[in-house]
Amino acid sequence: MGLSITLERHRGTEREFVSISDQIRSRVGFGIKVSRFYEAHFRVKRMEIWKYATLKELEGIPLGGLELSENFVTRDNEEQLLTKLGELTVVDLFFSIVRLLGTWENDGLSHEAYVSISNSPSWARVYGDVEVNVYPKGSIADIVDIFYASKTMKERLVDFFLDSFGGFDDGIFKVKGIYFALGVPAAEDFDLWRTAFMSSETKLLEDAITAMKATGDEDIRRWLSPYSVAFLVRNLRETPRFETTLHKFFEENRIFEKEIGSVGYIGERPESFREFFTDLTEKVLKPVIRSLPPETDIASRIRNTVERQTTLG
Amino acid sequence: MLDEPPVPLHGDPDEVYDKQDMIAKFGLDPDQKIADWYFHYTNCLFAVQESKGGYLRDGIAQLESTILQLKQKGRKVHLAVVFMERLGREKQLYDIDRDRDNTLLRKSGKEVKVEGVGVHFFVRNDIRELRARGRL
Repeated sequence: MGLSITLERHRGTEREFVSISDQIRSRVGFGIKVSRFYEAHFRVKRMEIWKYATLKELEGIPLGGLELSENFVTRDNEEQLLTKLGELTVVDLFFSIVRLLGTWENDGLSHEAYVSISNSPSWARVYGDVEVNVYPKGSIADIVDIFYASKTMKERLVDFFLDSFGGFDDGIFKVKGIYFALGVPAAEDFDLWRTAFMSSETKLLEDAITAMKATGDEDIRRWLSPYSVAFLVRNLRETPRFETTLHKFFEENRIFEKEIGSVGYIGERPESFREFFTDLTEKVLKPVIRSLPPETDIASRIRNTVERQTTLG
Repeated sequence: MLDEPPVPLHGDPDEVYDKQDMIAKFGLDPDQKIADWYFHYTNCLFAVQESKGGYLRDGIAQLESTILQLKQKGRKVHLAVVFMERLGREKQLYDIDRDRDNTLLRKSGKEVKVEGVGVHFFVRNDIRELRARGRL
């Protein structure tokens, strides 16, 4: 998964309507800022624009590219890219994906690397709005392996990144979530997170329940089906003992909270989130869910109430 | 990175080459993306496999680069294999045709082909089930 960032539309009072091209300028501008943050390691050689997907094998259509000579995206390069995007039809623009391709240089080693900026909604839902990763080589399977190679690297590449981008808000988009994780993407893969930044503790719990639904037993999925994730989280959070338990689980599994406008959760150990997730699901969520009236009871109450309702004639 | 050996889709392979072998024996470029395995089944089919811990999309990119290089070096490739722990959120983009040796499809129903080679997708359970059925 590497580093994945999700953005959300700014819902402030100043700008309710923002055109697609302005949204794309904002998202692409943000992605370029991310690439500049890592410019000591990430040497950008080329920028590409694709439609639908970033490989022809996946039905992607190349829409153009730019070769870079400075190893990073200069202001001129950025303007050239935005001009190229501005020349696309609205449909092409809507489904576009911008790739900054190059190498990640570290300790004398070089890895093929990319920053991918997904304007295409289906692509962004899967991969996030902006992602950074390397292709596996040697003992490095994921950029997160490089980020967490030492305390200093983690501080520079993860902690400072959260400090710099956690509060990003350009009036069009603001940061919704930042995830540093190994393996396949998604909230479903909560157990693979190393560091996560999100708008609130509520979002963390929503992601944990989504992960449990996606990866848990059929029994749990069936039991959960009548209830919304938001309903469960709201009621858990209104239970004082739950808050105490949650923070005990953070402490026991070495997950540290960091306030950066929103909340960053930093796992000290690779297995911190996995063990936290096991504690939360096995000791709290599953017992709570199994104590709720099952779908069959609720369905039969609906049927019985309608059948007994004499005023229906 | 997943440490998964070649998937015995057509029985166990009788020749197996890892990344280092592909570089040393066939002259693949170590600076390009290279998949995990190149191997030969006893039914004369050659396959390339990526055992992927991350995105399927990136696995496809590795297969593409490897198959292209192998073909340029005069090597045959008849099929491609991706092995993952799970598909995760990418299941929104792909389907698996279980009646055709787990052929990977786009949601449009179109078969994913890499340099003209069909891709087969497996997770650990698939292999267990297939072995249990005696298919492999």
